[in-house]
Amino acid sequence: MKLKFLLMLVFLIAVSFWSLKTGSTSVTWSQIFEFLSLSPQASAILTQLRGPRILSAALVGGSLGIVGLVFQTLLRNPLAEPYTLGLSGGSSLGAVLALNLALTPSLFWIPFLSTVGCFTSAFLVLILARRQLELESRSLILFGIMISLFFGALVVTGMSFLSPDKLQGAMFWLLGEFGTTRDQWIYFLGPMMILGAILLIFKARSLDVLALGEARGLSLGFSPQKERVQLIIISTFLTALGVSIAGLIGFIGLVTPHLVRRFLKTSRHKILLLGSGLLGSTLLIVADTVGRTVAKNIEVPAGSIAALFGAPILIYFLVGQSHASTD
Amino acid sequence: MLQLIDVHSGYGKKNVLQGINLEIKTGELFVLIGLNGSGKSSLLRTALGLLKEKEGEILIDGRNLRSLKLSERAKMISLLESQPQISFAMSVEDLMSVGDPNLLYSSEALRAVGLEDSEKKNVLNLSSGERHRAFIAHALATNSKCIMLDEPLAHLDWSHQTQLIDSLKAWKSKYGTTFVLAIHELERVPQIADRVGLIDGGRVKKLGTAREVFLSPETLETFAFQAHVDQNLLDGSTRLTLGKIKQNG
Repeated sequence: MKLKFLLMLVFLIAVSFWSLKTGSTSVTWSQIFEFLSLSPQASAILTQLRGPRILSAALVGGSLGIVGLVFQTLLRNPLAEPYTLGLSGGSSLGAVLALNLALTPSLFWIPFLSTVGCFTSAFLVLILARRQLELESRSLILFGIMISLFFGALVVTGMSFLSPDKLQGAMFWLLGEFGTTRDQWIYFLGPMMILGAILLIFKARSLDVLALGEARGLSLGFSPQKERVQLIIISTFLTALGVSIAGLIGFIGLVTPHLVRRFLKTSRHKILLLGSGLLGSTLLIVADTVGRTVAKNIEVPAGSIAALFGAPILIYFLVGQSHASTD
Repeated sequence: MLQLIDVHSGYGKKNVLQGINLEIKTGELFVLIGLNGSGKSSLLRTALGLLKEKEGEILIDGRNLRSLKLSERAKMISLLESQPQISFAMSVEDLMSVGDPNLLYSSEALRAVGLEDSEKKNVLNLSSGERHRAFIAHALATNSKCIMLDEPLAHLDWSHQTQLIDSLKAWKSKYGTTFVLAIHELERVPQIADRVGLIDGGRVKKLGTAREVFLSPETLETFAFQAHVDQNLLDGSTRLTLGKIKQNG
């Protein structure tokens, strides 16, 4: 297990360095390692552009992986993640609203309204699901997707009122991108994201217990309701912060926990949470780097790259799973 | 050990339990019988505190269920629901570690259900009977003073049913555990139960030994069959034969 972790960590570091090096302006390895003797131009690229960008991708990806795992366990649903639950949709609606109203400072208003939107979505999905069906039911995802589509429509409506220059920015944001001025926000929002992730990792034991259902949870001394509320609040908050920086990114939160479960071959959440954090970071850095280097002078949003690879992987899992269950 | 005093509870506005009065003594193996929808599972869920009682009171060792801290409560009472499910791969070993039960109890519990050699297997790949036994092992391993099992014999073949019954009895006499089981396999009841409670329409309709309950008019009315308990002369065990007497009420 330790070896596998080490492997994941090494992979993350390697990917980060690769990402630092590649891009429209090439930076040589010796420049990266001899940090002090950097030319002003290379230094600016590394510390002002690629550095914060990679850090953003790492933290957003890591928190998506962790939050995806939490929702999947909590709702006992392999399709749950912030994107399919409609949380990212609500979050982006809040963010675009802040953009539309040109509220300043945006470093406060975008994350704030994004959080409000995210909680609204979470609340709506859970209320709808609770009224109609059991919380753990698969229909939850249907509600999530409906809410996602609805908020998506609202976002597009809101965007129609934006001036062309703002529209371009908002559009890319909805597709999930890095490399905007918001990358710098990671220095303010990053610590909060790390704190949220740590809080979730501390909740590993209650996730272990809740995975067995409410009755077992209560039989082992955990209040299913209380634990669920706490976990949902932290996860929703983490999602909103991620959306404030990078916009809508799907599939990372969905695929990462599945990959980690397969690779680490355990069901203990302490290990799974750490693993999902590491792998989520790695995957999003890769998606972003591929997106900005796949063609010269063109940037494909990281969210699109993630979906391009994530969707087939997920379908492969689902098909595999349905075969397994008919055995 | 466990006392329910005029307990009403249910889902939404609908009350499933309509005034349950029941006292289960320490160290006894108590069996609940009744038709589908009679309220057996709701009774167990309410006794655990999962389903909130709307009226009445639940006492554990004389203390109100709600006044106990959750960790204390878990040491006193636990429930394994029927058809326990997990959504993701999990080894039997990992299942047994959830909630950090005593390792000694864990290995003993796995032996008790005959899964001592299956620790590395994925619970999702087990047969439904094996999976059920794995969860029962987990319920035993947490070793609350009162362990409630909803339909523990479901999905089990005859010989595993026998093994489980023997194991529960052995566990009970070793640790003094109180067991409350909801069971549909009526022919097994005389063999297991110290006392039996017949639940019908959310109320306790009859209480007593297996013999008393099965021979009562209430049971006859509920199940619409004739229960005939006779003494098996060969091994001296009590055997129950069931014969249907009424076709159309």
